[in-house]
Amino acid sequence: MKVLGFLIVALALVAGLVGSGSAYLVRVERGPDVLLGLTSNENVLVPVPAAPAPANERGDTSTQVLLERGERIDAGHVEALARANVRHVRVEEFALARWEGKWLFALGVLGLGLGAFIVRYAARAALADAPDAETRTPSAILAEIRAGVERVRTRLQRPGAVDQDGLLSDLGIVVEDQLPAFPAGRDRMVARFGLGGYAALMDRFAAAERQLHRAWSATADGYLEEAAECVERGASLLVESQEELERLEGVR
Amino acid sequence: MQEPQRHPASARQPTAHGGGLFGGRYPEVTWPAVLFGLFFGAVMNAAIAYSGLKIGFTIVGSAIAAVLGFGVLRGLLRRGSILEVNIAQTVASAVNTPNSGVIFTVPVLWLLGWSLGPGDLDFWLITLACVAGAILGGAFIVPLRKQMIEVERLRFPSAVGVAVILKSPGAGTAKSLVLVAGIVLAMLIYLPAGLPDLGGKGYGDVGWRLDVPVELGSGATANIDGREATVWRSGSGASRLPVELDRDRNGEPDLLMTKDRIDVGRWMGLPGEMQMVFAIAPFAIGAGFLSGKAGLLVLAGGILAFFVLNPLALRLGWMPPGLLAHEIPAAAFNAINRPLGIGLLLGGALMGVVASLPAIRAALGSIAKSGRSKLGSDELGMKTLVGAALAALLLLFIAADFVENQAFNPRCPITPAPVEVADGVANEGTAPGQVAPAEVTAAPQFAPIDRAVEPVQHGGYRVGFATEEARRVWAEQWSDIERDQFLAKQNAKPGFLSGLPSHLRALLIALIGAGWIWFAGIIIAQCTGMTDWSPISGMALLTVVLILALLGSGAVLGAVLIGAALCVAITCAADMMGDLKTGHLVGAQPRRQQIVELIATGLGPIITMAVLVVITKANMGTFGVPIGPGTDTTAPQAQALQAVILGVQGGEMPYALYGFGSLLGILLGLGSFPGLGVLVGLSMYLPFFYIATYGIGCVLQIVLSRFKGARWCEHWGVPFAAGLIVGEAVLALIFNALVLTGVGPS
Repeated sequence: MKVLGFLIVALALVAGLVGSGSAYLVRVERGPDVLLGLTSNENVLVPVPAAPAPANERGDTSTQVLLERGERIDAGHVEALARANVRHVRVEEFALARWEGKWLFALGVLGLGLGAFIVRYAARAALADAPDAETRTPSAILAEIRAGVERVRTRLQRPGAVDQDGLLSDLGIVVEDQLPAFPAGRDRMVARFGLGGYAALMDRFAAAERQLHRAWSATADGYLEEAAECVERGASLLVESQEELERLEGVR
Repeated sequence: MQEPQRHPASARQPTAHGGGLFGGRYPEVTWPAVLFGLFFGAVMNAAIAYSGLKIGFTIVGSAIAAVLGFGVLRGLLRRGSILEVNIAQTVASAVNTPNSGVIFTVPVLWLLGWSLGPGDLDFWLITLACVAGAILGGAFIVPLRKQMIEVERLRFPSAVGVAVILKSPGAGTAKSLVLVAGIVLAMLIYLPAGLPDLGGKGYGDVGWRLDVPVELGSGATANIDGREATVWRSGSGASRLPVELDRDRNGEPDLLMTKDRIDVGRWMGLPGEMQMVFAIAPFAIGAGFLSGKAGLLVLAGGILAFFVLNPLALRLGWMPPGLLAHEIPAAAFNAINRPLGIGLLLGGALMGVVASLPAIRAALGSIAKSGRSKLGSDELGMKTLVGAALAALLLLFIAADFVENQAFNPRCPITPAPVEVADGVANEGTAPGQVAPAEVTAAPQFAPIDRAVEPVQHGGYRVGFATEEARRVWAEQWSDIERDQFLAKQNAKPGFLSGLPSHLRALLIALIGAGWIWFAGIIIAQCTGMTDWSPISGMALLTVVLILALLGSGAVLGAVLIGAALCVAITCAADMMGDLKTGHLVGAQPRRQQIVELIATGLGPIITMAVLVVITKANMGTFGVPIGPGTDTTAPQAQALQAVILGVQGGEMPYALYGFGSLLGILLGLGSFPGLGVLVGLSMYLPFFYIATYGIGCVLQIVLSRFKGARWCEHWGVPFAAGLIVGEAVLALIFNALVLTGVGPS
C-alpha cells in the first residue's frame, strides 16, 4: 500500500513538474492572434548551413537569430518562426488560458494529494498492525539506558581510584549504542503521543542525552568530578523522561 | 551528588587551568579559546572571502577550526578540553561564516556602477545591515534548537564531522586512525584538483579525452587514448572536429576528466542532454554518507530533474531550436529547474514549519518554562533573544531608512558628464539609463552623486543630482513626461509601497525583511540539517525580487541592502544550528555557545566588507575595474544576482513557476515526511555534478548499513566520512592562503 502511495507521488510529481514547465511557452502554430504583442524571454536561434564545406560535413552549423530576448513579437516574427518550424516560444507573460500543461499540472496536484493520503494511511496502518514484540517499546529502551547509566554510577561509586578507561568505555556504550535507540522509534512515538507529546518527552530525554555526552567528554579530558556530576544529572533527567513517558502512556 | 573522585596517575590528566569565563571546573568558554576563535575566524574570513569571489562558492570553516583548535590549544598551548576547542571552533565559524552572505550580494553594487568605500555612507549602511542580519539570524534560529536538533533530529553532516574530530582524543586509537585515513585520502584526492591554481599539474593533465573515430576523414593524426585517431585541425588551429567531440572548439577532443570533474556520461556515450558528471569532491561523498537515506532523496530528485525533465523538454520542443544537445541542461536549468526548485524549497519549508508547529510550540514552552526556573536555563532565555532581535531590527530599520531617504540613481539625470570618479579624476562618463551587464563591467566607475544637493521626490523615487544647477533644470525645465522617461530608462517602475511616506516604507521593509529572514533561516537550517547543502543564492535572489516588488524596480540599493542582510542572516542561522548540533554531541551547554556566537558573529561582516574594499581598490589599480569580469575576482554569485536584478527590471522573472513549485512542495510534504519538498527542491536547484558525487556517499552508507550493520557504519563510517569533509576543507584553505599570498601563476 505504502509503495503504491509513493509510486503515485512520484508519478504525480513528474506530471506536476512537466505541466509547470510549459507555463511560459506558447505554441507557434496558435498564430498571430495569441503571439502578437507578447515579449520573448529567450533568443530564438535557428540553425543554418555554414560554409566552408568541411566544417559543415563535420556537423558544424551557424545560427540565425529569429527573435531576441526582450523583443516584442510582431507579425514578421510569427511568420519567420512558422517558416523555420519552431514549435514553441518562451515568453515573459503568463496566462492561464495559454498554458498548455495546466491539466497535466492539475493531475499532478490531485495525484500528490491522493498519494500523500495513501502514504499516511498506510504508515498509520503499518504502525497499528506491527506487534509490539517485533520492536522494543520506548519503555524497554529507556530501561536499558537507565541500566547502562546505573553501571556507570556503580563504577564511579566504587571505593578507590576510578578506572578512567573503563569509565570511558561504559559511557561510550551508553552514548553511542543505547541512547540513539530511543529517538530511532520516533515515528511510533509520534503516532501514539502526537508530535507535541513526543516533543515534551524529548525535551527531558535530550537534556539527559546532553549530560551524558558531557560526562563522556569530561572523562576523556580527565575531569572526573565533572563527569560524575553530569552522570547524576543525566540519571535524574532519565527518571523524568520515564515519568513523562508513563504519563503519555496513561500509566499514571 | 557524588564525592569527588580520585583517578590514577596514569590516567588522562586535566589541565591546571580554571574553568573559564562562565565558571565551573571543566573549562569551556576560556579566553584562549575565544581569542583563538576570533583570530583564526578573521583569517579564514579574509581567505575564504577572496577565494569565494574567484570561484563562486565558499567552504565551511567549522571543521578546519576544530582541527586547528586542537593543534593550537592542545598542541602548542598544552591546554584545551574538548568543550574548549568546541568553543574555539564556534567563535571561529561565527566570525568566518557571514563572508558568503556578503560576497554573494554586495559586489553587485560595484557591478551596477556604485562606488563603495569607507568614505561613503552607503558602505556603512550596508555594513550595518549585514551586522544586523548576523545577529537576527542567530537570535531567530536559537529558539528552534530544541525542535530541529532534539525533536526532528536533523543530521547536520558537517556538524557531526566536527563532533567526531572533537571527540577523537577519547575515541580510541583505532577510530582516530580511521579519521586520519579519511583526512589523508581526501587530501590525496583533492590535491590534483587544487594544484592547477598554484601552477601545478592536475587531473586535466592526465589527458583522458574522448575517442575520435578514425572514419572522420583525413587530417593530422594523433595518439588519443592509446590509439591512433584522426584530429581535424585547420591551419589556424580552428577545430574541424564535430561539436559533439569538441564542445569548447579548441581543436582537441574534449577532456573526460577536467580539473575537478569526470564526465562519465560522455564516456558512456549518453545523449548530450543527459549530463552525468561527477565532481571530484571527497567532501561531497562524506556529506552524502553522513546524510544517508535522506540524501538519497536528493539524488532521486536530481535524476528526475536532469534525466527525465530536461530530455522531455527537448523532445517536446520546449527548448529553442538553435541550442545544441549539450547546451540543453544549462538552458533548462535556468528556465525551468531552478525556479521550480526554489518554489519547491519554499513550499516544502512552509509545510515543514506547519507540520512542526506542535513541536515548535512545545520547544518554545520549554524555553520559557526553564527561563522562569530558579535553577537557571541551559538555553538563552526568550527575553534575551527578543531583545537581540529587536536591537537588530532597529539597526535594519536605521539602514533601510537612510537608504530610503537618499537618491536611488547613481548618476545625475541632467549632467552625466563630466562626473568625478572615486579618486577625483574627471571622466567623460556615459549617458544615464539602463546599463547592460557588459557595459557595466567595461564602463568607468562613477562616484556617488554629491550628497549636499537635496534629492527630489518623483514617482515614488528620490532622484539625486550632481549639482544644484542640475536640480534646478530638473525642477524648472523638465516636463513630467521627461521625468517619467528618465525613470523608465532606469527601469524604475513603482512598487507596492511606493505611495507610502518614506519612514513608514522603511519600517515596513525592515519588518517584512526580518520576517522573511526568519522564514529563510528555517529553510536554510533545514536544508543544511538534512543534506549539508544550503541554497543561499536562491534565497538572496528571492529577497531581491521581493524587495524590488515592494519598493519598485529601481530601488536596487535598498534591495541589495536587505538581500545582503538576509544572506548573512541565513548563513549565520545555519552555522549556529550546526554548532549547536556539534555542541549537543559533545555535551556543551547551548547557552554558552549561543552567547559567544551572537557576540562574535557581528565582527564577520565588518571584516568581509574591509576585504572587499581592499580587493576593489587593488583591482582598480591593476585592472581599471573594481570587481567582476576583467579581474581575478569575477564574483560569479554577484553576477548572477546582477542578472536577476536586470531580469526583474526587464519583467523577465518566472513568478508563476515559483508559485507552481511552492504548491508542489507543500503537497509533497503532506505525505509521511514534511521535508520532502525541501529535498526535491534542493536537488533541482543544485548543479547535478555535486548531487551525483553526494549520491555516491548516500548509496555507500545504505549498502554498508545493509551488509555491515548500522552500528558498524556509526563506529567506522562516520569518522571516515568526517575525515573526508575535513581533509578537503583543510587543503582548500591551504590553497586559498597560498593563492592569497601570491603563490602560483599571476
